[in-house]
Amino acid sequence: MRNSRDFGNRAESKCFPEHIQSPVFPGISPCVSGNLFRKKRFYSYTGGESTAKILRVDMNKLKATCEDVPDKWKNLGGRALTSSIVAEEVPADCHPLGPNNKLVFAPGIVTGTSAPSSGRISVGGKSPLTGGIKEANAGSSFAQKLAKLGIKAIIVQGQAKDKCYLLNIAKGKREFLDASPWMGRGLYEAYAQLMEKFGKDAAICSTGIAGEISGAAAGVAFNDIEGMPSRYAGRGGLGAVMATRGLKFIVVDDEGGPGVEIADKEIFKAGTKKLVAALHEHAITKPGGTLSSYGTDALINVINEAGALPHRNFSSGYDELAPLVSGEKKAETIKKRGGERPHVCSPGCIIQCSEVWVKEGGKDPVGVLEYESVWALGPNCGIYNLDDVGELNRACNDLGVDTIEMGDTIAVAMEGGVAKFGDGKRAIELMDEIRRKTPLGRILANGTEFTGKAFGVTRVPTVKGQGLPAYDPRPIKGIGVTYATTPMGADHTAGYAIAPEILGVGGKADPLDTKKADLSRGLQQATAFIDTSGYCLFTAFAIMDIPSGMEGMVESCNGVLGTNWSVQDAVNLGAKVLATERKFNKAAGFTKAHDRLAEFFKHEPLPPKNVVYDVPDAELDKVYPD
Amino acid sequence: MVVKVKLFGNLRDRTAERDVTGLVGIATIEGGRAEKVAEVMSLLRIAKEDIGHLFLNFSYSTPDARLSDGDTVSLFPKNMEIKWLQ
Repeated sequence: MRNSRDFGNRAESKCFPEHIQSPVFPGISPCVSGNLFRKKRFYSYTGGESTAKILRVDMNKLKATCEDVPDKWKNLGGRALTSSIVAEEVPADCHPLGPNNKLVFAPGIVTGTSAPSSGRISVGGKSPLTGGIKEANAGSSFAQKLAKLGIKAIIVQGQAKDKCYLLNIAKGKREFLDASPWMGRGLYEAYAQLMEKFGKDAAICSTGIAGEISGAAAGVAFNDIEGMPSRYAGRGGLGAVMATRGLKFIVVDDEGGPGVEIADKEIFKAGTKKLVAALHEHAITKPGGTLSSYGTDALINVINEAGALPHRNFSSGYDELAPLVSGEKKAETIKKRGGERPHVCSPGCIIQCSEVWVKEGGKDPVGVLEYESVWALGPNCGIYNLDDVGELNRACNDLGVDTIEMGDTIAVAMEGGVAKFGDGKRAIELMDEIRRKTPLGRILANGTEFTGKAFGVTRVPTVKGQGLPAYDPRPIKGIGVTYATTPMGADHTAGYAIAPEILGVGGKADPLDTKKADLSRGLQQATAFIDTSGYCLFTAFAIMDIPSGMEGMVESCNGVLGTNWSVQDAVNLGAKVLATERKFNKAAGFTKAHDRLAEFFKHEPLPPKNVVYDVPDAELDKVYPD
Repeated sequence: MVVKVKLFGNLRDRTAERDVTGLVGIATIEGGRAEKVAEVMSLLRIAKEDIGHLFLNFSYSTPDARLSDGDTVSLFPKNMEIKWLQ
């Protein structure tokens, strides 16, 4: 059996110092020395005085004012910036929906530049779902426009008392408009009306009906390139934080904006060139590759055949009907109906994993149906009909709820007798309960754990209150280590161990080997950096296997910031972000007991492999021995 | 010995039989005609380089794996792989 350090044997390692080795990136150590954080260059800013600002939005006074970026935050972006601001400005013991929580938006370091696949924005705050710190991110032109407008972060604080507002941001303009007319309205209709009002080039961010009822499953929606509300910073209930600030929409127009300052254009250009080459070379990310041909949903059949696709509320890892909702079936149907595939989530993406799912006859576009969404709303609810899954995804987008959390929630409700597994039409009706703000809808809008309690269900797949994503941890141990230990609650993107455990990306690890602490920690650190950079997490497929791609990613950040980071420095930054987040969670009351999977994973064997989750608690505690 | 083979994507064209969804090709290899996965692939005229993912009884596997009665082999084509290193 291989252990997590068996990743040597790769010619690429010669590109990096031989004394540093990693199970995640060739040449990167998962062990971090605190001394590295104290290097002066780590925080030095050599690119001159930045004009980028922080926009502080006070909802008590309805004022939005620009502030200089403190030196300590000048070299941060994305997740590093949102988590640093939340850790410093939000009391860890505050109520997530109360007056002391804040909602922070931050584009990544390279977002808004010509860097490929980099239209990401992080959203942060204290999560009403987990009770801990939260960073959720999305790809949208909103991120790019905000960065081009010279805004490094938006901090939303206070709570408007009388009504909800739309904040309109443009060059030299910050105005608050009454958003009451859109209360109780679906986001597809609202976005279409806002696009008409502000122009098709406007970018929109919002909370939906689920946020209006303070649902802990409410996400923050962003526009796709068609102007639909299909791009989500979905996880952790940040849509409810936005709604309880009294903020319904933010609309951004970047016309006349200064653009993103690039301290060293040559280094930036050389870095992006390396990254583009890696993305074009890699089988997963290249044009015509798996992601652009089938989308992320290509994973349905693969994970099902690995016996790890959760069906009917995590009661089986396999079902013969799964191909009916596979990436292959979906791509074929989209082509036949006149939808779009491949497609970009934001301008400048070269991976193009997105799509536009449509009804028969090409009607009623939904946007993308991601693997996680299809799984959550499909097989996890025993639903194997793509049209039902499409309508459930439409309802999630329209109501402003996270698709993963809602799929887990509906499955738990089905387990509790609210509906029968496989009844897609009834599941769609349940979404309407949220729209009508009924008592049942309010229960569902609060997510998996809340719904489990309401209906007396004990098989509730959560960690830190957040529903599990589309990989059962019993036959894939490393992803379970990430679910258990990330500060975010169950989150596959926090440290995607599936890559080495199933897909053979970034090395090869035996999925049943229980020694996965080092692997998960290394992945979590690298991911925290990628979430900071502004690059899409899918670039990781290429940079985990092609060292020059990782070098290029870091160099492009150096080009923007004027820093001199090494690849090791970048991973260390990720480690520092995690330390900041864990410190916040500790102050919020989290202990090692929270770094555990739901109990049933330990004693309910998962067919067809009939394995339980047997990673010892001591191994989980090795990830963060603090 | 009977071995069931599931063929995804364009590999399904190697057989006329389909699974319950009509989307996955099914081949049944009987009578000890194959002792290894590689021999199953050879019988179906599938080269190693045509394969993206290979599962044997829900575990990632290789063409060298030995077969037993009742085994299920799942084969994905190269153009559907989500991996890089071989």
